[in-house]
Amino acid sequence: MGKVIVTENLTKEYRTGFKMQKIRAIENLNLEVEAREIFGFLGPNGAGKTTTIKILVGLAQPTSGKATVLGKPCTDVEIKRQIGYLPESPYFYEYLNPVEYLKLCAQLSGLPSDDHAKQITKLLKLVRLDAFEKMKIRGFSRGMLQRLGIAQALIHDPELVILDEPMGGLDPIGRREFRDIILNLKTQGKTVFFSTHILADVEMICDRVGILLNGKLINIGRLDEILGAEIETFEIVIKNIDRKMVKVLERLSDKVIPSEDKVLIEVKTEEEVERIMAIVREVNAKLISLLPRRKTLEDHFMREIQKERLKEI
Amino acid sequence: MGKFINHQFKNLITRFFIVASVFFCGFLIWLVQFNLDLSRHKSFRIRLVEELMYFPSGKFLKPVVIEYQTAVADLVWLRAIQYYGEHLMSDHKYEYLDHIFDILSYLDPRFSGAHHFGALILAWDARQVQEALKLIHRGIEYNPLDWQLVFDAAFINYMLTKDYLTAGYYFEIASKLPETWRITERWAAFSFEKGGNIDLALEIWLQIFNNTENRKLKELAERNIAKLLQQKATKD
Amino acid sequence: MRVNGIILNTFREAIRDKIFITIIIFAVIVMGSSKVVQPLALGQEEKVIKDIGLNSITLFTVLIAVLVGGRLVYKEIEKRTIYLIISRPIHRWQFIIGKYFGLLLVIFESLLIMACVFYLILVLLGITPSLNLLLSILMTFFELWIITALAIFFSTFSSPITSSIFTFAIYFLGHLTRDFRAFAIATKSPSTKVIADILYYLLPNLANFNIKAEVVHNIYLEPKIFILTIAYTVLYSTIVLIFSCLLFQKKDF
Repeated sequence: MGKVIVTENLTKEYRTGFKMQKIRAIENLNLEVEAREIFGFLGPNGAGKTTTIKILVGLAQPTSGKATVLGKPCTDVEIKRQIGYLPESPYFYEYLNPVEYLKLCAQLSGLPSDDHAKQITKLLKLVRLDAFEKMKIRGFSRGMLQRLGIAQALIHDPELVILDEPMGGLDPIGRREFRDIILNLKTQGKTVFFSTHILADVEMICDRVGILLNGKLINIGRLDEILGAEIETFEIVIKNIDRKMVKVLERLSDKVIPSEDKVLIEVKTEEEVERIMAIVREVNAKLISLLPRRKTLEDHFMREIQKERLKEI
Repeated sequence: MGKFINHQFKNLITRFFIVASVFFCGFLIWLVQFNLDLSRHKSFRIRLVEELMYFPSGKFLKPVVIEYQTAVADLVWLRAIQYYGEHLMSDHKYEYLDHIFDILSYLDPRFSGAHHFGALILAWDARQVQEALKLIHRGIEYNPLDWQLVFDAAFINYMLTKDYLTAGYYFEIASKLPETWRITERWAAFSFEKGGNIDLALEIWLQIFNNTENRKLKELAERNIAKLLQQKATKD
Repeated sequence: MRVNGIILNTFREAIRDKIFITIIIFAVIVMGSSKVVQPLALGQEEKVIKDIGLNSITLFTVLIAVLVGGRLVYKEIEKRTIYLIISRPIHRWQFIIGKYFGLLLVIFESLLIMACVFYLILVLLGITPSLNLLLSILMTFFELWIITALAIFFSTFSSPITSSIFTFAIYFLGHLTRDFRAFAIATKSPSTKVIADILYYLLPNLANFNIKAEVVHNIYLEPKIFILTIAYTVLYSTIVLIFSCLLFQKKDF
């Protein structure tokens, strides 16, 4: 099927304040999202992620440039039948209960009315809201709202799911379930495009990521392409070692962090690992763990932001 | 789920108490105000009258109350009755009565009942005959088919201004309007006779004579015609 | 049709809204209280009760249109519930039209309730409930087509209070243009006359819809008046709605 989202030189300017000053939210954004992939849209708050998404779902109009979704311009109303959208901290009609709300959504999305009941039951079960069918949305907790948000985004079985900060407001269990839902969508052959500023989410599930900073796309590609495949450091944790030996270890590595009865050591090369292992065996200390560490997205992210800041200066 | 229902129930009780206390406070306010009014009964009534003084003119009030003219007219009507009753029971001074009915007439010119009542009390109780006639004329202008208003005009002219010819003229019109009193026609004849226009009086009696099947009425008409013809002869 | 969803939801929202319920209850109380004035009215109770009924039906439905309509669109924008509507396969104009007819449905419902209460009161007080009165209520309904359209128009770009005030101001002025025009002709100043003429044709001529005095006093009205008034209503509300849709089309959320 090829490209699901394509933007060409997408630019959005807002005029704000009393003097109607121009503020450029996104600038010449060129983005391509392939079919059946999970695409993470990364960036700090205010980078322009939400603006991009709003243009894609037709809530805002671009100042210049073009955006197409599933091969049609994003201003085409009918194409929205294939898009599921979850806004950042979504709000719903508080005076409805989830069933009424989802029914409205299904109706507006053009889902045949015979399928409404079946689809609603299925989705309420999926997001674990089936016990709250009769409760007014007014009484929902933050996490429940977010889960209802997922349900409404999937109610019409869309090809493309666009999620804006979907993990916000979820507890660890909720996040876990959420990741499963997203991965499940992928196996069903759907495309998922989601924005976040939480890197851990992206690392675990995304096929590709795009990094947005101050309205500009500064990086796009597969995670391992961006981060590089090589191992950066090794992390060794050992136990039962006396104070004197810690001093010896400190000569071998720059980073030795003792805590209670354990010591954490960070080294750069395999030879250094061998040397430390020798010492451990010699003094009869106990090896707790040995972890190879890659460069993290966080490191990368911070470095990129730093680079951009330097450029500005 | 059980916990949730419990929560809702508590909520309901709290709401009930809030609503109940609001009503109770409202009742207390009413009670206090009622007592206040009782203890200042006199001044309250005086204020009411003073308020009427500041009643803006009908011309001004009419556009301000836009499409609610008829309802405001009714309020003014209720006030007018109160005002009339108040002074009827006390000093018999009706200073603002004319003003109140003027407003009424502007707000709802088709309110014939108000014109009728207003004109009568203005003429008899307040002794403001000219104002009464002005009011009744405006009433007739907007309710030309209302025999009662025309009759009032005739009656005031007959009884108070003693303008018998005008009265006769109005009685005559009133007698031709739908649902009128049959006696009106005879009064028209009497008025013309009293005003000295014997020809007109004769004509009306002839009309009565020709148009009625009632034996007694025919006899009455006959007698009057004979009397008038005699009068005419002596005059000539 | 997908617009049905929006119409129905608007209706449901208003029905579950406290303002709506409060206004209806208030109207019923006011109409019921007309019994109190019965002994005071000195033989005019029939007229007074009919007037109170018709006038409070108009006043309270206008209040519903102005207060509920004034926040209809803006609330969706402010609470961001609109995100999940506009992002679905719905044209923006469909959203406006849906809101409009949803509120009209609410108003129709309130008119129905109030009219029933009104007729019930008439029957209970032994007054002949002439069908004439329904004509006036019908005219009020058409007047509300225009007022609702105006409320939605203002609601697309201004806050609830501001749009309620604007709508109410136009409602008020709409009843005055005829008087103002008559006044302008009397002043014989050409510039005043031009201004009066502009206002007369630009603002909705709401005096057209006021036949309360006529129906209470049983005055004959030509059928032509009703046909022309309905035509006026449809044309005027269509224009206002087209402007609302145009304003709404280019809006960023």
